[in-house]
Amino acid sequence: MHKKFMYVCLVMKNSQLYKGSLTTIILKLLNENDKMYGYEITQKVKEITKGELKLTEGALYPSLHKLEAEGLLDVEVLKVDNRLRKYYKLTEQGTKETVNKLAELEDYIKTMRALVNPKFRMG
Amino acid sequence: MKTLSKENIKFIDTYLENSGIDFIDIRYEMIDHVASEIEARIENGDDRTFYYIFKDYMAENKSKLLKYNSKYHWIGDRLIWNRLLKKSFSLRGLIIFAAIFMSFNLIELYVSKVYLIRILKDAPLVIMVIIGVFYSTFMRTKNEKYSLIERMGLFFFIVFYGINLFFNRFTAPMGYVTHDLILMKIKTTFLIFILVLLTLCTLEFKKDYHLKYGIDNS
Repeated sequence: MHKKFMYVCLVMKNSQLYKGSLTTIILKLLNENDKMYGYEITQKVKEITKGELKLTEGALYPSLHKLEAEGLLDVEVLKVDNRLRKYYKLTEQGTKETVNKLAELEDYIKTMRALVNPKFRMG
Repeated sequence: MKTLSKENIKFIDTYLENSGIDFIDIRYEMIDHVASEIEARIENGDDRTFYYIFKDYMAENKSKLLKYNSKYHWIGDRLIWNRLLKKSFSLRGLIIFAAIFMSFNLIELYVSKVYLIRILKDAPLVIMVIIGVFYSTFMRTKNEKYSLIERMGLFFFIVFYGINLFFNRFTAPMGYVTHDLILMKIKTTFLIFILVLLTLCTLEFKKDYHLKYGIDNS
């Protein structure tokens, strides 16, 4: 049920729900992978959500730069296939923030579940 | 997986630059994104030439890429403000401010009031020109523009006019220019202080870019 609800949240492409969760999605993916580059993140999200959620360049890169500016992400630039590739990875502060953001999202989901399904009791 | 040639990458770079994406650090990331997508399409069986695939991709996504470019300015500006504020209220910042102010008191001991007023009026502009010329001549890297560094000039002008407007309320309330030395010293100290901080920020950003992108520091 929990996973199903989260999935529903993510596929609501145009909603504020998705916008507010973008940072958490990025942090979660980087927490699971040592380092990732922008295109890789878009493809990973597409793969996990079976194509239901598409991260656009206009949404993803500003979020990545914002997280970098806040000191949550560190950057490494490598030359790959005739071009430069910018890899993002979590800083120590970013790893801590990921835990907080995921806890926040879970609380939010629990609250929403309680509202959507009154039979569900908040723990 | 088939990878794009250097010529293909150069083509994407030129196209994005001509589309108004001036800053090379932003362009690098866009080039990689566009190239990765084109390579994926080729991998998935699109057997047309690079130029046709590129043309299709741009027709679908150009507006999104340009949106990213415009959003970046706000994030970059916030980064500069934060760095500037952090530096202003640091111990080093306070020492720099005090040193600049004290130096005017020291100059006052050796020059006449008229000459001191002249110095206080002209010093920020003269220092700004010296830093600008020095940066353009010795520190600017080829023709490559880096986003945060290129915004610094704009920041100085905003702060310069902000400080002038603020102090003019005290020094020239009725359009009459007073020669209150204390106010003039404080105002000039603020202007030079901001110039010094922006220069320090620029050097830090340049060092960051050097570490990230391996740009030449000469």
